[in-house]
Amino acid sequence: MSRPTNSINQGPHGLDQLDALLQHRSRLGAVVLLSANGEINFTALRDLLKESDGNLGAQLRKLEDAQYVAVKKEFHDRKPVSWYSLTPTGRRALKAHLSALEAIVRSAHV
Amino acid sequence: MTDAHQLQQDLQYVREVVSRADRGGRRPAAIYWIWALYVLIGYPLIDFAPRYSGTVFLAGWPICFAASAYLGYRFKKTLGVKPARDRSRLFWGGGGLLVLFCAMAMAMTIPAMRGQILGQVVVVMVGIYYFLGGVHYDRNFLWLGPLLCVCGLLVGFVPHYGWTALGIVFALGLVIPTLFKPRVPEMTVQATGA
Repeated sequence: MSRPTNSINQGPHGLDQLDALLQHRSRLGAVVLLSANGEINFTALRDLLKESDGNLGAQLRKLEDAQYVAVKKEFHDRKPVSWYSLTPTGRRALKAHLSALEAIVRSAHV
Repeated sequence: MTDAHQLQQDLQYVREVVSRADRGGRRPAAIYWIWALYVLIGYPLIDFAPRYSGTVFLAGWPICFAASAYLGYRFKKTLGVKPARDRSRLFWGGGGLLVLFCAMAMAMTIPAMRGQILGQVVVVMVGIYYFLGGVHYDRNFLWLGPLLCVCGLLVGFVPHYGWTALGIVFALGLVIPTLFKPRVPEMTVQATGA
């Protein structure tokens, strides 16, 4: 078996299929978590991803702008709570991104 | 530009996130206490008022299941998660209905499979169902399931109050682990694929 030696800079198969938005690890982490759960609130996402409020807010806003995630505001004990969920567009994008990653890994092992 | 090393680091990060989210998987202790109460009432009735035991088991199951589902949902919501498809509900609800269906089918088709024998077979089936629950959801059921199977077989040899003893063992098996473990996990988010 040959060892994986390719850098993706060298252009293995699947690189062009990677989703630019999901190449950021916080955004990818958020989307992966949302893909397995109906809705997750901001605080839970922040704790799981170990991100600061500001950074996570900015990353989620980008996902929201691309319509990968939907946000719903609720009030709990008079405090606003943002619940995030993955949209069908986001789910499709994640599947395509994961397929591209698989292709890269496969090409690196050939 | 992203290189393989960066990609590897990002995937490692996502793996850690998923692992963190998968940690715990616990349920509120109240769910275990509800079912402990159910078996603690249901099984002794077989010894003391057998006429009512079937009714109590049949009527109590959907009530306890609905209460458990509600408590589980509320618990997850306090952790910041609203599960869309809760597989545990499907497992416990569907499994319970299958045990019930099998018991009714056996009672209707096999004349010898009634009364005490049917009760024993149901306990063994519940034991298997709990063992599978242990494989997927709660490690404590890995020993409670086989224990129930053994109890289901042995109860036929106990001359007096065997079902009461079984109910007590079952109830203790459900509640004792809740006394020794933290009831609120760090996080319980399902973290399986896309």
